[in-house]
Amino acid sequence: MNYKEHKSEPFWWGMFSQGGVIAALLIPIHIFLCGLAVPLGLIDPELLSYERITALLQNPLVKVYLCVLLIFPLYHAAHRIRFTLAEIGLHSLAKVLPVLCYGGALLGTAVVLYILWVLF
Amino acid sequence: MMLDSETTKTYTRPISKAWWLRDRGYFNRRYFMFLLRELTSVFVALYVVLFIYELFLLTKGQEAHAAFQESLRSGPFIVFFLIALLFALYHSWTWLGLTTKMQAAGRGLVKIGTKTLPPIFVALGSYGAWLVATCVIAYLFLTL
Amino acid sequence: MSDLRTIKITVLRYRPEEEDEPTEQTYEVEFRDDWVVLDALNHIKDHIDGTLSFRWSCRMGVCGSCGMMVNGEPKLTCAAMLRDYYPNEVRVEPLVNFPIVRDLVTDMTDFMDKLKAVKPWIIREEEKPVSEGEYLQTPDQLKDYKQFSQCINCMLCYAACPVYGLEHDFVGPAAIALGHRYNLDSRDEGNQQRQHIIASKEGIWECTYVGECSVVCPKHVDPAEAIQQTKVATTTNRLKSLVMPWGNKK
Repeated sequence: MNYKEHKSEPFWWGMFSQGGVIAALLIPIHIFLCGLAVPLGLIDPELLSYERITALLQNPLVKVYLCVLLIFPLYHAAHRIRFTLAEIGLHSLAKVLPVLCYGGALLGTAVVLYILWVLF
Repeated sequence: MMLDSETTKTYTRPISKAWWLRDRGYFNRRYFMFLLRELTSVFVALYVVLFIYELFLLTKGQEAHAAFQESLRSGPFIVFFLIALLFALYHSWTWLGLTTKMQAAGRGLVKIGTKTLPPIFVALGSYGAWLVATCVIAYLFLTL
Repeated sequence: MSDLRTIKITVLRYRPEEEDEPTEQTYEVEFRDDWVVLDALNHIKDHIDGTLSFRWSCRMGVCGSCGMMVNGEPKLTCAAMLRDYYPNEVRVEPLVNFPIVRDLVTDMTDFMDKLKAVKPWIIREEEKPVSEGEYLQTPDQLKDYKQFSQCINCMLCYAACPVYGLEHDFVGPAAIALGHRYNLDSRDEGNQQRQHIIASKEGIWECTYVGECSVVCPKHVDPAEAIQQTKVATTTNRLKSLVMPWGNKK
């Protein structure tokens, strides 16, 4: 067996682990507030009104925060999905899965940046 | 014992594709929980994609946004968010637990001089960070 | 008073000259409160069926030879008490993920090759002559790697690892943990020489942190955490070398 140090895996793993931390710390409360509390009427629906959110998005700090919140977890998920699919039967696709999964995350990154900085 | 694999007839029992349910005749609960842990990422991804879609709708104007907000009140969406929340919490729990365990192994990664920070402080730091982040986000969301 | 209690031991048997696939054989042996599974196997070999093959040596959890699957879990059979299973049947199978040579004996060539490949010994850029004395180390420096040095090469972690089961090229828990052990040793200067295998695709990056290797390790080596620590260190070093390419590579 000829082993060779892998140059790009540390990058993907680094993104995966950053995303893992961000998802662990921030995602549950977001799901609770926007996905359950507002729709169920536990808190004022005006908190998610068009006026309020678009006003918040004028603040560059909010944009940066949303970038962190949305982009890193995409790489986290891409990495886990890549390995899990191989582990539950798609082992023969082990070469294609990184391209598909990280490709998806890269696309997601572009979409987030485009929406936040071009459309807004 | 080193074998000449050319001349020795061996038998390897293949691992099943559903090894997380049954691995060579046995169910291992920890394999199953591992798979659930990895599955959390699917819900994280779905939530993020939905979030991005909502941002996109904001660019389409007030009505598109309001219509989607209204549809979020429907049963299927509530069920989805409930399941997603459970998986997200399971991700937080396992992730913070594993990072704590990883940092504490051997001599530990968090050192002050030549002394290692006791694992309990690392754990308090991880779960404490979760609590602080959760409260801060909730506070900002409600008051900004 | 019938106080001769017995326990059923079902063993996976494989006799390559007779059969193409393993079969099962059940033995009924006397149950003794102070017996381990290995005692029962030795009793079978000595008194019931001399053709049963298995490895063992020290009977005290040091040599690492008697690892087998006991009711589906990788165990040192010298440390698995029969009374923990009694009155239920005990199923003994060879360690999974390895080729079976005969009965409970597996081929460990793959592991031995990987173990050698991580160079689990102290590497010096320049050996100093014996006359200059030994390489000294403080108790604190010893503590840095001591836990990871407890490995007895019993290979239970390889049997526990589904990643190894699915991908035999994976360098695996014990070999990587031992590489980590020497990388953490203050006397060692061989980090760079191990990097190509430890940080290879087949090395740490194949691991998905199932964590079962650490659960089954009879010596509490914690290979899973050793691998994750190596991932952190490798990623940090890579980042450093990108941000500060002029920095010290060591």
